[in-house]
Amino acid sequence: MTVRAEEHIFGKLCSLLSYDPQQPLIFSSGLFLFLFAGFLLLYGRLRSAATARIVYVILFSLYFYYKSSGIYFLLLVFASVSDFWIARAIFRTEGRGARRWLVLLSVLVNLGMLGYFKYTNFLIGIANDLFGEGFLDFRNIFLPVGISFFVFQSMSYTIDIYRGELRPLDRWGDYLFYLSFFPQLVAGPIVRARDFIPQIRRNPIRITREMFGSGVFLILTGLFKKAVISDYISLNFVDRIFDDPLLYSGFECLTGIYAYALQIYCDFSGYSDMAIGIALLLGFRFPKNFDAPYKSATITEFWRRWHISLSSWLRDYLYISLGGNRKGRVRTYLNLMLTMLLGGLWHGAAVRFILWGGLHGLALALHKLWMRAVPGSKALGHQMRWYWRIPGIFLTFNLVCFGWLMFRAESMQTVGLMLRQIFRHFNAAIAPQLFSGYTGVFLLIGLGYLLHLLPGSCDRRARRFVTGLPLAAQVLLATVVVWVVMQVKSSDIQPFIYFQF
Amino acid sequence: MTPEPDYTHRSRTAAVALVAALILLSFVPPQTVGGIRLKRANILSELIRFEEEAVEAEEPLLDAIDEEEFRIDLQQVARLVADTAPREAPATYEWTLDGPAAATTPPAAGQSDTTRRLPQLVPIEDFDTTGRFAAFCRKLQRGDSLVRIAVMGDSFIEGDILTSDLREQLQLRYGGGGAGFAPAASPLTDFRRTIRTTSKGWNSYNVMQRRTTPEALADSYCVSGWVCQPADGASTRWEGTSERACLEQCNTARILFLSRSDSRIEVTVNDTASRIFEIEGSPLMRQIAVRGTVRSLEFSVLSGAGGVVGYGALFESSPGVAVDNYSIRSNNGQAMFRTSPALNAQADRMLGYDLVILQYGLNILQPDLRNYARYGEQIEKMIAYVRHCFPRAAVLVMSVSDRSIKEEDRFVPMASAPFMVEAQRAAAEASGAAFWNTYRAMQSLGGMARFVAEGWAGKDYTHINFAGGRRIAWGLCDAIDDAVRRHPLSVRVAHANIADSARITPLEEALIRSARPVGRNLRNHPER
Repeated sequence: MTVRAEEHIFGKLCSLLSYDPQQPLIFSSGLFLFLFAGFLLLYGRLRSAATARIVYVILFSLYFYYKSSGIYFLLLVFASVSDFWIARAIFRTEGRGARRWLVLLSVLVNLGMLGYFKYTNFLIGIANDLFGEGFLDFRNIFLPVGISFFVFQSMSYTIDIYRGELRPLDRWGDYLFYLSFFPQLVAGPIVRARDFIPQIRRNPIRITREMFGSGVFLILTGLFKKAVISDYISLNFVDRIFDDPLLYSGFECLTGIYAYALQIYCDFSGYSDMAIGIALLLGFRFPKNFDAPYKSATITEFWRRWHISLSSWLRDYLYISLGGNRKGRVRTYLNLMLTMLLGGLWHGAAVRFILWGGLHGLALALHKLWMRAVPGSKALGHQMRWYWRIPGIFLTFNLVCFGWLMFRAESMQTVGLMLRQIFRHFNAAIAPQLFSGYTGVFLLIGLGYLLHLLPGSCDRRARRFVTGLPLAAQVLLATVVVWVVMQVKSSDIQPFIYFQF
Repeated sequence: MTPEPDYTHRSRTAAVALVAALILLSFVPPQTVGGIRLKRANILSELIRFEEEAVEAEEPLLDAIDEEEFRIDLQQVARLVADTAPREAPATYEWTLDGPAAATTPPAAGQSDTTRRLPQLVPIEDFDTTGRFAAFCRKLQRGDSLVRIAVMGDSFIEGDILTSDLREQLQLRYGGGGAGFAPAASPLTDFRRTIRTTSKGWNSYNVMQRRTTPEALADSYCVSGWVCQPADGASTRWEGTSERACLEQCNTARILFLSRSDSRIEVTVNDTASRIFEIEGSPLMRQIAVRGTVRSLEFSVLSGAGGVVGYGALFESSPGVAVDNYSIRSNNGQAMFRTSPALNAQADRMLGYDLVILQYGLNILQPDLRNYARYGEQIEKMIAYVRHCFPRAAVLVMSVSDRSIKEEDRFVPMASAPFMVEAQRAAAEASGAAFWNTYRAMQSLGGMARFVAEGWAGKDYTHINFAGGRRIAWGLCDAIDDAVRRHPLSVRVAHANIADSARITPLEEALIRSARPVGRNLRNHPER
């Protein structure tokens, strides 16, 4: 064995550390580990120097953002300047009308940025569909990472101040710190200003054993969910089925959808867990973002367990702003549907995301209607008897999976093909061959769902166990998890296996 | 009460310790534990590489190929084909439709001189010693008859991947139309876009599943590799599509089947004209050839289904090019040895193949195996088998394609692929068959990593999709154009000029009168 440094190692190092849209800085990368370790070297020393610590974190956060989005980190700076001053103006303005105009300005600036970067080409596509191909030319617009998240965070700040629920910050740096704080910057959770701001200038920073242990636990479990379960089943099973559903039986397509349900959960919640864990190591507490959503017995419960920071944001800032349930029954359903349609659009600029939102909006409205029509019906699984709860979980899970089909498919044509295979060429007889051919994939899927369905007390026990470990054991555990991640990342690709013929 | 200690510094200690532990772990070489291969976990892989001890070049792995699968008695094949040939000609049931036949796409004259589809030409290596490849090239140029190409392959081309674009490009350049062969029934019919197939009442089997094929059908496989067993009333409808150029209609459709006992078959063309054929029982392959403008075709087994074996239909326009896709998953070429040489020969006498392309090897390729000599021997047997069954056809061996594997967390080309390419080239050369380097063609386009990045291939970094097939087909068409240029038609002298001796003397006199050195003539030309 010989060890050889890459040629032009310095240049390579520079390119590694420079902006590269193909290589965003994500928590599960080796580069982040090194950068974060370097960051921590100084962070602890600044625990009692609030201003220096804030400047230090801002600089690291802006670099973190620059690494993925280049010069667009200025957008983040712009959003912070804009909303910092608008918020102050709202607070100082007495007149209700003027305050309303100011908050509207904030919303327009934020949604204008989001609309331009995320939805311009979507709207051009619709215009071309309506008025003929070539009516408008598509634009080459870069989508800055995390824009959907920080724009929503920023709006929560100005709206809370408008509603009188929050006092504006005195220092722009503090607001930039809130908006750019790197753990939640690119993929949430969407942390409300009112939850975060009180933690900024706490001095000195104090991290308890429980915070440290929970942080380590969340980072490691998140890493396992994201980089082991999600990435492996995506590359080796899910992607190939969604790419060419006609090459697979209906049974494979259905398992592909169930696998995707786990994949998206592990990917999203795993990353959120890592963000929450990293924030804990820095002394910040974020609210829970996922709470075993596939245990939900109703669609209403699902939205209380899935991407909680988004669903509660939509409830507080969109649904309630539209009138919520205060304007009669019809308006309630309409508001619900509108909230979910826009929530769907937030996830991606495509019709299928709107349909996905529409499906959930419709399901939520029907469930609301059911709750009203059937006395004694419950909204949450733990309030139900087991013989209601189990079918409820089954139905809710399958409804959600049907939604994921629209979410994941490249087009509505793929949705149709998947459904056609499921309903016309199911061929369950291939199940044993499928499971033996994709043993690794199905073991991970089984493990993923098993861990998901375990009672919450198991999670708490495991967290306490990790918290109670001595530092050396915690490091050893982390080393093992990272090593497993690296083994899985470098594992051979599962070859295509065709069973239906 | 003592305040709880602060753990802010613990994060730093933990992170530094973790980094140190991972760097140390990078020095642990790859291991095999309990049969599981554990790779080196190099946390510094972007900056530092560990060069592992080179593995000695391995001998051919015993489990790479199952030679029993490739067992074939070629002398027996020759005898079977010879025994078949002199017997009665396979029965063709002809049906010429009223009205004009669909016009075949005219050849794009002159284009082949310069137009190239891909920036880099990967030429066909013409090891052909039989003269058949040159004959194929000249027949293409003449453009006065049907030039039929069979592409036999594996999952790489299934569903008409690659062949749909090969067909389109050849038909646009050399004329022709129609989607080529389409099976009577197969689980892949929905996936195939170049012809719309609706079938009911059939059970279909492929030759790779011959263990599950009913005994009565086991000896009925022919070049297509699929057999379809009908129930009375079973039917299949094929319809042209606009998925590629020249597919919506054609001027000839042929339905191939066996009818071991008497049967009644109904054929409906374009959903309007239909005819019932009373088929006399025979062990020989039958065809119903429909000539005229064919946009859709329906084939129904009215009675006698017990003795019928359906193969499928071929859609073509003459003069021009027809390309038939004969692909079977997991096939390394051995499946052809389980087909009936007699039926293949009968099919060839009805269809007349000019070129058979062999696209195999992907399922044999292994990352650690560099000696494919034994597989090369099997390829030579395949070439010999094809020549027995399709005696007029040239053979072109397509090499294995590019394929990537994971190394650390990156995808890199499988290093063993060039060794497989070399074995395939050697087999083609040894057998006097033409060879085309698919691997090089893909590399010239950026290799499998680019194919996946561009959405031209699946995430297994092995199989291409229709978009990827289009790129490779363009490369192959460029190579065929190039081969055509290298095999120009000999200058043909009109028969009248040779026969009419009265014209020879004046011609000679004219030549003598105008005789002068060519070079001087050119130099003195006023325009020079």
